[in-house]
Amino acid sequence: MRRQLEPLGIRFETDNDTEAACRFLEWRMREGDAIDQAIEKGFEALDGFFTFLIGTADGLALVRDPFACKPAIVAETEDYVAISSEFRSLAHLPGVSRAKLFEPQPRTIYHWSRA
Amino acid sequence: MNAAAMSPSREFDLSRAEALRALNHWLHRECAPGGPAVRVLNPDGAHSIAVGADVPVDIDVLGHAGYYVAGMNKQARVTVHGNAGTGAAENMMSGFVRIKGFASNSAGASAHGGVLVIEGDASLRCGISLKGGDIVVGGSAGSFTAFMAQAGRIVICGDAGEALGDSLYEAVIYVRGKVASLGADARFEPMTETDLGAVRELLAVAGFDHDPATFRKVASARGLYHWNADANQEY
Repeated sequence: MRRQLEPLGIRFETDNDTEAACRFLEWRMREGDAIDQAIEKGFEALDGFFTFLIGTADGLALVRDPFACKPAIVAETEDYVAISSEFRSLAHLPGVSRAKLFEPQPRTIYHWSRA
Repeated sequence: MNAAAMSPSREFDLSRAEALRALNHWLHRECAPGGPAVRVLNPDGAHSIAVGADVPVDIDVLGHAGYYVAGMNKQARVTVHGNAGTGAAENMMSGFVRIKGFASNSAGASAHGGVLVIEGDASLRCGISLKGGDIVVGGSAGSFTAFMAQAGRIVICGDAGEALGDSLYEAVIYVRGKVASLGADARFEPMTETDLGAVRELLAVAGFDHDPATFRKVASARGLYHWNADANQEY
């Protein structure tokens, strides 16, 4: 993937696989894909286990690979969305006892945007 | 109101330092049969709550549990009044574990005996490599449920995800809702009187009110039991 992207002008700062996945999404969005479209193409192009949390200027997207090996849990309240690998690190958030808690489904795009 | 709630109980507040270690140490070394019920306060997703218990005692976890709650359980009756992280009741030998909320990946993995009830949904790989335990899921179960399960029974009251029962051995699955797909070598089979009785028994144990006749059975076609050199590795 790195060898495919570098000739297209995508620059890498590390040798990290995680960066390769990010750069792939960057490339797709540069080519005009919306974030959801870029992630859909990522399901085909990326071979491995991943959970992506993607921040943009006005929103947040979350996606897990079809095998969902990497843990993830979401707490949603009126005031915030909190995402972590396990509940332990969400337990002390204000109002978390009233939050809607769920595990994101594999191969499903979750999207939050500022109202 | 059950008797345990009325008798004095032993409390462990996990918001205090070393309380988790104290709880598990007490369960392993000091807890005697017929002793007080155990209440675990402020679990807040702590890992390994009440693992390796080997005594008939009631344990109530009052909140969300982290990884491996009630792992390796023997004899104890553990209730999580919340959700459970990865590996709830994994490698259980006997006893009863109830998760009132949802359970994350690999719930009941490798359980040799006992009953695990998940009132909400079970995530992926529930009952992976099950070795004789029983699992009842009140909601739906994720992909790869019962992967390589060798013995035991899994009842799914809701839907099942992809690759249900992939590479099953002799474990049996009963599913009431939709099945996204069957795994390699898994197939639907007719429900016999024995199957209806098994579902009725497990629903009663779990406290769920469904008609056993609305469940379908998934079992191994046993096509992978013997090496087939002509299979061309096309599984």
